[in-house]
Order: sequence, then C-alpha cells, then structure tokens
Amino acid sequence: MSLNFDSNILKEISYYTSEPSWLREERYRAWEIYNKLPIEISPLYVKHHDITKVNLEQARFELKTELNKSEEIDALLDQISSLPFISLKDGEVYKINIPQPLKEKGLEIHSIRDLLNDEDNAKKLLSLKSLKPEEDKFQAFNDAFFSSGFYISVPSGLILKLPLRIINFQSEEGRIKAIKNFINVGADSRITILEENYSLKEDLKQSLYSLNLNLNLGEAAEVEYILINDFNKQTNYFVNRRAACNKDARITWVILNFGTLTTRAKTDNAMNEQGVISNMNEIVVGDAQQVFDLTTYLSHNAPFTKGVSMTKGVLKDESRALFKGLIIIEENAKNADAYLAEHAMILNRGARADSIPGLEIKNNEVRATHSASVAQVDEEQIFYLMSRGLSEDEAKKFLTIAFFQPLIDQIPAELIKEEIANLIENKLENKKRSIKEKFIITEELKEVKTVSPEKLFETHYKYRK
Amino acid sequence: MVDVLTIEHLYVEVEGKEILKDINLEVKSNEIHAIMGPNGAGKSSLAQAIMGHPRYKITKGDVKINGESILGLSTDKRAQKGLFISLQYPIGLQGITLFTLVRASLTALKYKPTDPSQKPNLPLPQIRKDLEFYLKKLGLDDSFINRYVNEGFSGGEKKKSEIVQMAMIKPKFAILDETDSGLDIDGIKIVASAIMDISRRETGLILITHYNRLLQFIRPDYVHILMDGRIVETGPAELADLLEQKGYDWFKKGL
Repeated sequence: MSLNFDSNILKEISYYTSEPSWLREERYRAWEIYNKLPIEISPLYVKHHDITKVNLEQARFELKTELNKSEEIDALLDQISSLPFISLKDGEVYKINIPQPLKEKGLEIHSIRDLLNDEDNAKKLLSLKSLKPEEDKFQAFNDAFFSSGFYISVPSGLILKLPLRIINFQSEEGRIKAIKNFINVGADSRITILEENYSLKEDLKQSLYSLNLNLNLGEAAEVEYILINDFNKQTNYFVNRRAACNKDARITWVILNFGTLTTRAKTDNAMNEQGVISNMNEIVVGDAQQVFDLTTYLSHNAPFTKGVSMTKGVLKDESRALFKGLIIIEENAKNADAYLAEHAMILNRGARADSIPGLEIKNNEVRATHSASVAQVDEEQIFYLMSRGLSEDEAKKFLTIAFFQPLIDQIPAELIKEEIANLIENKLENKKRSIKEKFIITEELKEVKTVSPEKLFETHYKYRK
Repeated sequence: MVDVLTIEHLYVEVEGKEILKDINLEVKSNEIHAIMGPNGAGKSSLAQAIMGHPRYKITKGDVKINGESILGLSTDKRAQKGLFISLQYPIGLQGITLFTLVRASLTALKYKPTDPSQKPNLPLPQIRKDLEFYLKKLGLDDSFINRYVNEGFSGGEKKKSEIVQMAMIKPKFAILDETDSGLDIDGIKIVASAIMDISRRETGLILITHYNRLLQFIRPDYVHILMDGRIVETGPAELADLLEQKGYDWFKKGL
C-alpha cells in the first residue's frame, strides 16, 4: 500500500485539531511504528492477508474546515429525528441528535474535535483508547492520522430499546480518512447500536476509510452492535475494533459485509473480567473483485467467560474471503468457554475463500471448539430443488440464503433479523437500490427507561425469568 | 383428460457406461406401474434420467409427455410439465423449512405470475392448512412445517415428507423411488393409503421397489421387471407375487 504523503501531514492534522503537544508526539511515534510493522504480525496469519486490490495513488488526504450541507442526507436524517443519532459525512461529524429525554438521562454524543482541544478532555478521551499502535499496522496508521471521530457516553442504568444510530455517508471519491471513535457504556445499561455505511454515489477513484473503534462496556452492560457495511466498491475499509468488557458485560455483534472493495477488519472481544459473554455474528456476501479479510479474536482474559464467533460467507465472481478467528484463553481464564465457526460457500470458479481458525490455550480447565469449512454448492441439492420446480438460479439463491439461515435464526438482533434475508437477497441479485430505499427506518422513540438499583437484580440476565 | 408419459427405446449412460438399454414404457395418468428389480438393475437411474439429472446421459431414445419430447428440458421445466420424483435418498436441506420449500415449489409450479415484476399471489393460509392435513395423514406432527427439510429426519420421516410434497404439488406423474425402504410395516400401510388417497387415479404412479411389500397395499396395473438395464418382463400385479415367492435368481434362470 503506497501513500502519496509523508509525516509532514501529521503536523497539519495536529494544528487542525488544536490538540495538546503530547498527542502530536504520539502521532509521530505511531507513524514510526506504522513504518516498521509488517501487514500482519501474528505468525498465524503472515501468509494469510490480502490488501492487493488497494491502490491509493490517486487518493488524497484532506482536512476540511467546513462541511457542505446535503439535502439528500438531511431528508434521510429527518426520518429518524426522534432517535439518538450521529451522522458522519466523509468522516466528518455532520449532525448529532439527542432527544431531550435522553439528554436529561445523561446520554452524550460529541465530535472528538470538541474534546481534543482541551488538555483535560483530551486526556480523559485518550484514556478510553484500548487499541494500541504496536498491535497492528493499521491501528498505528489510525493513531498517526486520525483527524475526526466521535465519543458516545451512555450513562449507567440506561435501557434503550430502540437503536442509537450511527450513519456514515461518503460523498467524495479518492479520499483518505482516519476516524477514531469511542463508545463508553456505563454499568447496567442496555443498548442497541445500529451503524450504517453508505456511499452517495459510485466512484472511479479508490478511497481509504480507516476506522478505530474503542468500545468499553461497564459492569453488566449489554450492547448489541449491528453494522451494515454498504460503502461503494471503490472504498477500502480498514477497521479495528475492541470491545473491552468488564464483569458480567455482554457484547453481541451482528456485522453484515456487503459493500467496499477491500474490507480488512479486526475485532477483538476482550473479556477482561469474569462473567463476560461475547457473541460475534458476521455475514459476508462478496461479488466482483471484492476482498474481505476478517479477523475475530475471542480473548478470554478472565475466568468464566464465554465467547462465540460465527462467520459465514458466500462468494461469487472473483471475490475473495479470508476468515481468521483466534481463541485466546489466558492462564487465569479457568472455565472459559469458546466456540469459533467459519464457513464459506463458493458459488463459482474464480471466487475463493480460506478459513483459518486458531487456538491459543494456556489453561486446561476450559472448553474450546471450532469448526471451519469451504464448500461449493451441492449439485444434488440443486437437482432436488429443481425437481420441485425451481430454476437453477432460483435453487442457487435459495441454497445461499439457506446457508445463512441457521446463523440468522440464532442472531438475537430482533431489530434487523427479519430484514437480513432481504438484504442478502438484494446483494445476491445485485439489485440497485437507492440509499433512500436502503436506509433503515425504525420505530419512534416512545419512552426512555432507566433501572433503579433495587430493580437491577430483576433485570440482570442472570436473574431474569 | 388422461395424460400419457411415454418412454421410447431409451438408452442411458453414466460416465461412459451404458446402464439402461432399450427401455419402453407407457404410463397413463390414471395408471399405477411398478418397476421391480434386483440391486444395481438400473431402477434409480431410470427415475433420475426421466427427471433429467445431469449425471445421466441419454444416448438414444426419447421421453415424451402427451407426445411432446421433454429431453431438451431442464429438470425444473420437466417438473412444470407435471413430473415429480420422490428420491430414494432425499437429501438434507439445512436452512430450508418444509414450508419454505413447498411455498417456493408452488410458486414455481402453480402460482408463477405472468409478469415477473409482480409478486406471486399464493393462498398461504390454505397452503399451511393443507400441509397440516397431509402431515397428519402421514402420521407426522405439525412441527415438521418449520423444520429444515430432511435434516435430522429418520429414514421413514424423509419418505413421508416426500409424499407430503407430492400431495401439495399434485403432479401428473410421480416416480416414487423405493418409498417403502426405511419404513416399518405400519409405516408402509400409512404411506400406501396416503399415496392412494392423494393420487386418486389422477396422478400416474411409477413405483420403484425392490420388494413386494408396498405392492400388497397398492395393487399396480402393471409390473415391469428390470434386470441389467433392460425390462425383461411385464405383467399384472400377480407377477410381483410370483417374484416374491421365487426370487430374482429363479426368475433370471427362467429367462
């Protein structure tokens, strides 16, 4: 991956964000690390990575001072004005909306640039950063070049049934952008986050969208994080995520990968204290030249933690997928329970998938299982369906959706569950839909609940009836 | 109207090996035919070749429905012409429930909208009711509607589920490939009586079987004996009884 800029840009970003000088020093340090690190550090994956389609020779780094209004975006956002949301346009914070009742409960959403220009706020913000530059080349890249992002703080005890929305719009081609997000979820809170990535148009020049997400879950907090990634096919989406989970917290991911040219994603479920449950569900539908290089870590850093990761992908044309999953069970993580599954189905010659599961287990009193497969559509199944009247194409489509069905069935995200099969079908049929049609409309916010401490025992999942 | 399925001088190859030779058969949609034969005689091959399985290459002869050749048609088009097959080993369809399968099947066969941009207008409540009715008839409970087809089914349940599908589709001709295998004697009775109720002499039946068991409950109009890829004898239902008594070896010697 060659970049047409150098470290001089770091100074510019630093002036642009008006950040403290120590943060600028951090950027230089991260830039050095970026230059030193190979694309993959883990010996397990040294041979398994693919960013070969990325070509950023025509892409430029740009720091915007003002953001153009977009009527198209405004019309979409108007439809969800009763929900809390943050919208970004080309990586810059475009609009933040917090309904009054939630503001009163203490929900906060900020652009990080409003925090970085203050010494104390910057310190507090960066203390929430769990992703370190040494861990991954593109984490280091993000640390060096980030210029925008958001901070969401969910107060303790807030129960939000309707989703908190994050909507990323892309409108300009050939851009390099690094975004750093922080989400801090207080103890005993329960929220659903729905993130959507859309491009307003098809582009000719490639872009790089670098994103680091630092997600912290307080004690017994429950987060359901749904992502629909539908950026256009000139976008390279490099994302690192870490859910740092405290005692009894529960994180559920539902990640739907449809768009982008290259998606390189690393998600770490850091189960740092006992009782944490993490549940990763990832779906990939690839076509044309798309590449999906996905890594999931189940990091059992404490006893009695439970991790499940299920990835399923269907690949057609010349698309490619790499499913890398790693179960890490630390020495003290007695009674950890981990399950990892990576399954891919190839629809035609030319498409390719590799499943590479890994285990690093340092304690004997644990349970860790995994399964992986790469298969083609079964000719006998096609015959069976055709003998029932379905055409060959219908049969293939049917079997593809069926391939995902067991995963869809066990996804807890009620909000999106019914819609997932449709989304998969649309992608398989290569249906052109406008953002207006794709944009997810959910119910209006009617009431806001918080738990009083007395009621905590009743609502906690361990005591729920 | 009576429909006619004709098989004329059919020769079939698998991987370069000739496995069916000069097969001739005429089945009317109000008739019941049985095809019997020892293992490896080519019974299942005949069934799959008629249905258009890509593994079976037809080198000579023809298969016609009402005088029109169907050999140029893909399997789904043959199904649309009224052919149905109940497989000897129905394959598991993880992720596809019986309801989903039947709905897709009926959409393709009976409720295909003429304008492809229109949604098919399926009477879903009626379909569900019919499914429940036929499941009950075959001694399967309602839960099968929402179970993945043939996944975790016992051998007998798979065969019964095939007959439920036949009942929903109501084909002109049904080829039932060893429907009796995997069933105990009570199961055979249930399935046989269901097949008779469903076909009501409006669906032509081709029963492929190894034993006489099923034929004691469904008396065929004709019995054909298939050996080494050829039909060597055709006769009334009593031929099956004779075969049962004497065995295939005896029969072979007599030829």
